Amino acid sequence: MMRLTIRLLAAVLAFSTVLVACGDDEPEPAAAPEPAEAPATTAAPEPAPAEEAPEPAASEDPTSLHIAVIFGNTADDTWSTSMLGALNRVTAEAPYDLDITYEYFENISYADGERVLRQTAETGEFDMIIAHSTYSDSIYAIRDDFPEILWSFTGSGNEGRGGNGYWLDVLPHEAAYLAGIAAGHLSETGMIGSVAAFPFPNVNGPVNGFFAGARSVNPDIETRVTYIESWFDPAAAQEAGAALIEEGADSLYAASTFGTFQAALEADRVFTIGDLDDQEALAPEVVITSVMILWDPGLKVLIDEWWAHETAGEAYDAPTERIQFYMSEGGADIAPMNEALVPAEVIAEVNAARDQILNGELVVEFNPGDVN
Amino acid sequence: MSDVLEALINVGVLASAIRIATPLLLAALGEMVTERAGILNLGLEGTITVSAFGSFVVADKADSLWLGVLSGVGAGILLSLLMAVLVSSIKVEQVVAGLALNLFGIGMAFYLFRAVYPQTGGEMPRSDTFDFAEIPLLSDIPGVGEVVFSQHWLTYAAILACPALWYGLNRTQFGLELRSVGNNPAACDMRGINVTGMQYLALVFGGLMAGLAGAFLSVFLSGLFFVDVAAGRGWIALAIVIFGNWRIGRILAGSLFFGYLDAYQLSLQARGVDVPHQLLLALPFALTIAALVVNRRRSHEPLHLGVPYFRGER
Repeated sequence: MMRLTIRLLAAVLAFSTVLVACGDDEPEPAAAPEPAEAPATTAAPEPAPAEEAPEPAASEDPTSLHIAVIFGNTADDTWSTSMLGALNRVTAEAPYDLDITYEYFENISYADGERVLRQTAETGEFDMIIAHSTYSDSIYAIRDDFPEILWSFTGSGNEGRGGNGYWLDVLPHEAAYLAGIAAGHLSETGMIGSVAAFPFPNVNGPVNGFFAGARSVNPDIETRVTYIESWFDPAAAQEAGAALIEEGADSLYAASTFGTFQAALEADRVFTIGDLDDQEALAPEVVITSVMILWDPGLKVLIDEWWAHETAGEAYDAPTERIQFYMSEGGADIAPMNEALVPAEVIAEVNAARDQILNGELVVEFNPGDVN
Repeated sequence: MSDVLEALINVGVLASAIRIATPLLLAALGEMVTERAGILNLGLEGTITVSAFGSFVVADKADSLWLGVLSGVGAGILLSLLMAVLVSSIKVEQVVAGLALNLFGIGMAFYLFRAVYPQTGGEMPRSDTFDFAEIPLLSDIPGVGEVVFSQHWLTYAAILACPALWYGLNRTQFGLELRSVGNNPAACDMRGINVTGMQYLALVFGGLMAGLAGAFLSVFLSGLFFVDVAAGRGWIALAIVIFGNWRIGRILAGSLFFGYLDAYQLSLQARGVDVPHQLLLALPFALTIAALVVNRRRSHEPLHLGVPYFRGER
């Protein structure tokens, strides 16, 4: 009898193991029977709006906008935090006096994309769904079932087909160029490098910009790039950084990778540049600045389009090209320079170049092709 | 061309190879012992992830790297005990249990991570990390000092574990019994050896070692935790056990070789040599398949590996 009990207990345990395993990326909190099986979702910092008011009549303008964000990676990735930061800023601005709230669902694999997006839409809670990565195919498969929802997808590797599917992208190459100016000035070895994730347009564009910026102040500088073939492998990024440092690189741009700073911490006088969001706090001893992408103008376009659709009944008509903004339009910037590491005259030069980019005097070529 | 050759014996490449090999060696040694007792634990990836999280969160919150390591090891052992209950006590199919353990471990680690560290648009959390433990005098030897004697203490421990394990497995009564359980559990049972107990112990040891591998990834290297922190290292460790034909010396050599290939391709890229580095990254797996073919006739694979033992059944 005792033995049977133990076996039953163990069977329950095994079963719940499988259940939890299946449930770890479910987007619907209500579907999870136990807290341990709840999905990896986090509500927006603002409290969710209480649904006390009845649906406004058709003639009245909407007062709230509820957005779902799907992250292919985890929310801690700077590709994700840059989107969360932009959402927080836009929410605070409250365009059209809208009460904007958002929820995110993270770590959704591409294979699960279609299912998760459909389930998210089927909740009926969301006016806008931003799938923050290469999800255009998943969206096209289901968007006709949800014509009232504004769908969006981001970054390179997508395809624009118009309708209610909006393609947002970013142009960080100008900010990377500015970081390159600082790295070019700081280099004593005559070599700088980049630890990059994949040879991917969204990665190569800023790496080329970074190297171009360094060459603009130091034409003879040598440049090296290492791909670690992973978005998240800090250990690999660290070893890649160590190999570049061994070869003589003394500034490393961590292009969509994490962990490079650790290699710099263990070396003498090696600097790193963070990517996509401000990463100085991670390692203030070595991070001189960060290349920041700003989704704010893109988000505002989405909100404008949604507003026009809701209030004037205009059909969604997304451009087939990507919606992206240069630095002068607020689409990117360089994080405040680390004054403890970068001499004041270098900071002044970077700021001067930044002003030139903003007023159009300096044009930085966008080159998403092979890094040279 | 000279770059390609020089990188082969570059001090930085060799030192990097040993760092990359450390978590692979730790996990592979543990898995080898587990498999010697007849249990195929495919759950290494999940165990490493849970342990990396356990180390990270305690190192960060309790501000103690040593407690972090302990907690990572504890997490690894806990997950292995779950595996032991599944496969040794209730005799669930080992492959299925191992795969479920991965999904469970990775999902659980991420769930707990998010519960402790909510993300609303700020920076990612980072813990302290161990400094390299340079051995006095020896680390000053040119070349060798930098490659071998300027590593993390856990690297030294992993390498020293090899002869200790060899002795334990091959020169002690306990080691003989453990290996016998993997080869002929029925005979062991008749001799009065507790087969299930032995398998529990072997799995706990495997969990301990995978726990150290996870701790190495988080609190020795980057001080960051990502849900993908294991990044396939659990699977590579499983491949190394096969590549090493379940023998300690070859497992040590295999780990170092796999680490070396990785360090070598990174160095070639850093030198600006235009090589298809993806090929070098894939090479370990191709070599593992080759080793399987070559070792087919003189395999040291435990005879009862992956087969649940039922008393009285033949």
